[in-house]
Amino acid sequence: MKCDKVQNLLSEYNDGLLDWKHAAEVEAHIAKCAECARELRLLRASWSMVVEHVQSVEPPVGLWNGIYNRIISEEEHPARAWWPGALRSLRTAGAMVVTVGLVVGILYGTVFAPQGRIASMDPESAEYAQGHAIYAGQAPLADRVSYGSIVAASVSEAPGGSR
Amino acid sequence: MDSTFSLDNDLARRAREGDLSAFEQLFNKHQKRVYNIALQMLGDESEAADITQEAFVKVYRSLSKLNSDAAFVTWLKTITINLCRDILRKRGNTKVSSLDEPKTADDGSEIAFDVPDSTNDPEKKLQSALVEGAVRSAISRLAPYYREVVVMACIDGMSIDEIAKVLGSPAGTIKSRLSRARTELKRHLAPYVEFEK
Repeated sequence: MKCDKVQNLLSEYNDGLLDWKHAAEVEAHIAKCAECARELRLLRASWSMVVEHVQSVEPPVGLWNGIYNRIISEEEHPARAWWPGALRSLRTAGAMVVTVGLVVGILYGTVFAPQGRIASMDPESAEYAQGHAIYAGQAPLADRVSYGSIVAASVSEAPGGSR
Repeated sequence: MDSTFSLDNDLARRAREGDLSAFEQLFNKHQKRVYNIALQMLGDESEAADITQEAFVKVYRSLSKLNSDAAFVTWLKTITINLCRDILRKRGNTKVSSLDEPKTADDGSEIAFDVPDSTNDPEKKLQSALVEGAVRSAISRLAPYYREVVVMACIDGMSIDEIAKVLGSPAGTIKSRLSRARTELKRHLAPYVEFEK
């Protein structure tokens, strides 16, 4: 057996994990190889060093108080356990209702409502609204969908419109 | 069944029936070992304190699940190790800071790790501090699955079978991990072994 193989097996040899055949080979090698014998000594000494120098540290004071308070608080308010989850569900449902309400409101205000309002205008006002919507809809940041819907609604109301 | 087993399980039974003073006795008896396992696993005093509290609260909440044939302390250690593993997973197995790394004070200045004074000889004190720092650093560099077996074998003096029970792995796996961990430790500590001679 060569040195690198022996050195890979040293820890298992030391822990008695090798089968008798490999253990005998490692032992025979160590008996005549000073370098591998030194590696085995280092292995044992480094483990002893760990065992000797890993110090047990005292935990900080006051740990029990934290544990005690948590236990007592849970025992005093056992009902608390269910309602944070329920509250979270309610919050989610509320957020969904608000979101749907906003979307419907925006759609109503920008697409559907103008048509109704324009339908009730006299033809001159509808023409004025159409001209204004065409002009304002060309602005760089204009809401083209809204202005488009105003123009579409006013076309039928303005003089010369389809109605 | 040994007397520690009986005493622990008797205290656990009383705690389950609502006797908090019995649970406090269990805490006083085992807090140091839980704290030190967490400290060596995580390399951080504040996280080790949090894990100690979390482990005992978790144990208290689940006392009804403790099998009367199971050892309380084995169960407590399993919970502690699992909590440490969760933290290590959350960290993404990044390097664990070594306990001897200097800490920063509120004013930004560095505070060296406080090594207990075991001797009056300054040279020996320095050497001892150096070796202790090297040992802590070597443990912190081990992969978590090696570190946990070293911590349990070393700090707690647990046998292979006990470690296997706590980790829920076959004894052969634990032996092999411990062997590989020893080789790793030798690699990190060889210069200090020679220095100590």
